[in-house]
Amino acid sequence: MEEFRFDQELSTDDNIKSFYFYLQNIDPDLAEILKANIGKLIPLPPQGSKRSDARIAFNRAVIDALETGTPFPGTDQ
Amino acid sequence: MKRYFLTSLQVEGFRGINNEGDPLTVRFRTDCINSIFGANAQGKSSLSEAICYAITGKIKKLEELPATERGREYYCNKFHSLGNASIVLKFASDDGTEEVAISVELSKGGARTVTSPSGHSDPQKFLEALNSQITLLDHQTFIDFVSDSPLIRGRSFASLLGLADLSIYRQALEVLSNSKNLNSDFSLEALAQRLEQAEVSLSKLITAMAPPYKALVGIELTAPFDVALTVAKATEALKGMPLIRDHLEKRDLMSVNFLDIRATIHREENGTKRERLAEILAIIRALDDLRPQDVEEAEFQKATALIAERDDFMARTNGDLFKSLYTTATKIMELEQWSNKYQCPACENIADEMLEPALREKLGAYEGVNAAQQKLAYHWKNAVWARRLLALESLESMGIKQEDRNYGFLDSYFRMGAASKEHLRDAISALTALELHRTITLDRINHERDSIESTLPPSLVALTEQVANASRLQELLGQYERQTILAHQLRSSLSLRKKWESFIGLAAKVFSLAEVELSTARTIAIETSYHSMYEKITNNPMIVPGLKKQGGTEELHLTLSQFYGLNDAPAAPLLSESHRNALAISIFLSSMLQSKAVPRFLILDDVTSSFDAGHQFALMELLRNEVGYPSNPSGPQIVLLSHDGLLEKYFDKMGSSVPNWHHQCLHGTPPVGPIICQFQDSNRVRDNASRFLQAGQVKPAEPYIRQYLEFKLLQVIRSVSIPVPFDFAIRDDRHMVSNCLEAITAAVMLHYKAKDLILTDPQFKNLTTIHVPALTANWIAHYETSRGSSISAYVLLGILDTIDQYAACFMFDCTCRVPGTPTRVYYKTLARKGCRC
Repeated sequence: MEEFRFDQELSTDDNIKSFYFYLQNIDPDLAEILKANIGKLIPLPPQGSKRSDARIAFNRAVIDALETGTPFPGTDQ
Repeated sequence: MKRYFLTSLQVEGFRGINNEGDPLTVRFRTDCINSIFGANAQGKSSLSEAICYAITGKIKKLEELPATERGREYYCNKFHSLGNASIVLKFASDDGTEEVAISVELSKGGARTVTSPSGHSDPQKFLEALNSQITLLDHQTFIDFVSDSPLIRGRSFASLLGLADLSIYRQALEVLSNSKNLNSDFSLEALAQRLEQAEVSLSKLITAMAPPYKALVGIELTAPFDVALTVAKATEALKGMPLIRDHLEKRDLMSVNFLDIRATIHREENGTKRERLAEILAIIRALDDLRPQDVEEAEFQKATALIAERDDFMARTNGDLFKSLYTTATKIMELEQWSNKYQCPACENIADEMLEPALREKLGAYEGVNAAQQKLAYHWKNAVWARRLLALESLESMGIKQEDRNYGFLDSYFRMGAASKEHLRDAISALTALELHRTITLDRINHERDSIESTLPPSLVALTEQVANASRLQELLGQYERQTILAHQLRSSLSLRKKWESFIGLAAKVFSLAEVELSTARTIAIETSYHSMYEKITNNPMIVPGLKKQGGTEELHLTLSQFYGLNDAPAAPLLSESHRNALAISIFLSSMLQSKAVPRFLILDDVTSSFDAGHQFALMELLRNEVGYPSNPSGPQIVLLSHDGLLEKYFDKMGSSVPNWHHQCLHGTPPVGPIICQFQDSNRVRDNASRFLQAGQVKPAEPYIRQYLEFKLLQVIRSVSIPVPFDFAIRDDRHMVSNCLEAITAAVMLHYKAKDLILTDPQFKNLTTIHVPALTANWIAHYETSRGSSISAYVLLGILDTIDQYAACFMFDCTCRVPGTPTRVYYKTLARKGCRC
């Protein structure tokens, strides 16, 4: 796969869009999950419990999305 | 996109600006570099802070004060009677079609209200848009840029290059791809462990099925294990037994009811011995299942290691009280109000290093204890040896009395992860004793079985044993199916999560590499520009600065690629303060101009503090000719604030001789009295003074009179080119009126004695015999000696007239500027008019 690069001529928003486009070529479902949930960590909370809480919320949403339709044993949550 | 220029700023009751009832108004020209001079403590920084607060809603230096300093209480002026603040910003669009006024009010209680007197539909959004277009730079920012750590510098630089958002994105992806975080949030290790256990369990079940299968079917259970085939063969074997054949009609091994089959056999045999034989066979089977397992030795070793690991973490902690202290201190350190990350919240001493990492390490030991305890508890819950201990003690045939049982006692420690080495040793001893008891019991029961079987018909004995084997096989197959489903779910879940782990890892890596590449490219792109600016400001080609971005991090290293022949030398220890400042300014300005989002406003507050006159001049020329609007059509509108006396002369000269330069001065008595912006507003000062005096209010009029006197005297000095003493600008500013009068009088007398004084005789006479004595007697004697008291309003009204008449002594009617129409102008010097008149 071709190497990903940011374009100096593009705005930050457009560069982020092209990054997601690149990820969609790798795995469209996972790229969509990342895109749908990254807002939980942007803007990035300061280091410490706020950032940990945001990360845990993000990862919980990812697990939910990954296992939709896939029954989960549910004993480790 | 429409561009807006700042046209005026009006401030009342904010920081050092009191101006109660008479807001300080500063006007900005859209087609000029705007400079504002104010001596120390004249409200200059308050102006910069007012713009900053209006746009961003906060002032960094107040927000960063320790909580005990209560920085938020110092936004509003402490001497304003209402205690609230008002800031009005006015803007004009570049096409001249729109004027926008935004008013920001701050109440005494801290409530902020944003409105638009000009009727803008969304003033808050307007300010938010400005926030990304304005850059406020001060001397401290530049000092920090050079002396900051590479990490902090990298962050501020990313923001300058318009890469801050990408940097934040990369950090977020790094957080998400961190393997430790992934492992804990996605339970990767726990899931893998559970899957492994489920697979081991399946293997054990196959092993356990082999003996009853062989006894029932007559052949070995072959690999690979096939559930359907096993069920089919076992069902076929059962169907071959005439007495129970009817029970298998339309049923197989998995659905047949063995209770019914046993009842049939019981009826056939019609005796209690058969019943006892079935019981005995079940007991034998249960005892046989509880024989020691190979895995137990490894489990004992693991339990020993887990206890040692927990004890190791435990030794690094100081008990619950300290845990509570560390947790609370960490929470305080995370608060925005606790800005000094080196200061201990408990004792308020300042440490050499940031406290948060040390606190996290302390808390990490507690987390380690907790994690080790959880692992030990998990081990206890799932270990084969612990299950066997419980089963052996509970098995009725073992006959262990309640008071002799150990499991309950051990469980109370192990399930909390609190068991000691001694507890483990006791558990192993108990298990060894139980094993001995199990073999003795098994021998006894086997003996009883042999005894009963010898008294029963052989056919029924064989049938009973085969039914027992089939029942056992049914039970094991049921367990096998359940374990198979669980293993499948675990495998699927783990596979999805592992897939995410590699996806997010790849995403973070790809993003980071792309960001480093872009950042490096932008850094290289500004290299020529900041080299050029730096050389122009310092006029020193022997020093060539360089910026190096560390790949995969936010760090930005500041070096000198050339320093008088030395290569790659560090910048911070080698550069003088003025050169550091010049370097930081060059980098900031170059970055700003290179950035896609060029700031529309650049406010520079005292950025030349460490510069000598040459460097100041070079920087000002750079700003005027290359950076700022209008010379650079896409450059920012520049506002320069300075307290520097040398720079003031430059500003003054530029303001009066260059068309694209607009200069103003701040004068006043902040933070109690008013401040005025002298250039356009001198008449307003006179009017204010006059208004108060007419009303008989002497005290409020005094600051205005003083400002008006200073303004008029400085105007004479500037206009007539009166020489002033070397220390003029740095003398006690309370004596500014007498300093000015002395300087002017000395110059006049010098020219008078040299017989080249341009003043007319009446002017000279009025000056020396009427106006100077009047100003001395009615103002200086009362207000500059600290001995006098206030004088009457009428006398002070006279002072206003006197200073106007005094200034008029240095003026004449010029008829050559506008032929036929006399224009009242100042003499060029005390020796000549400076025109053709």
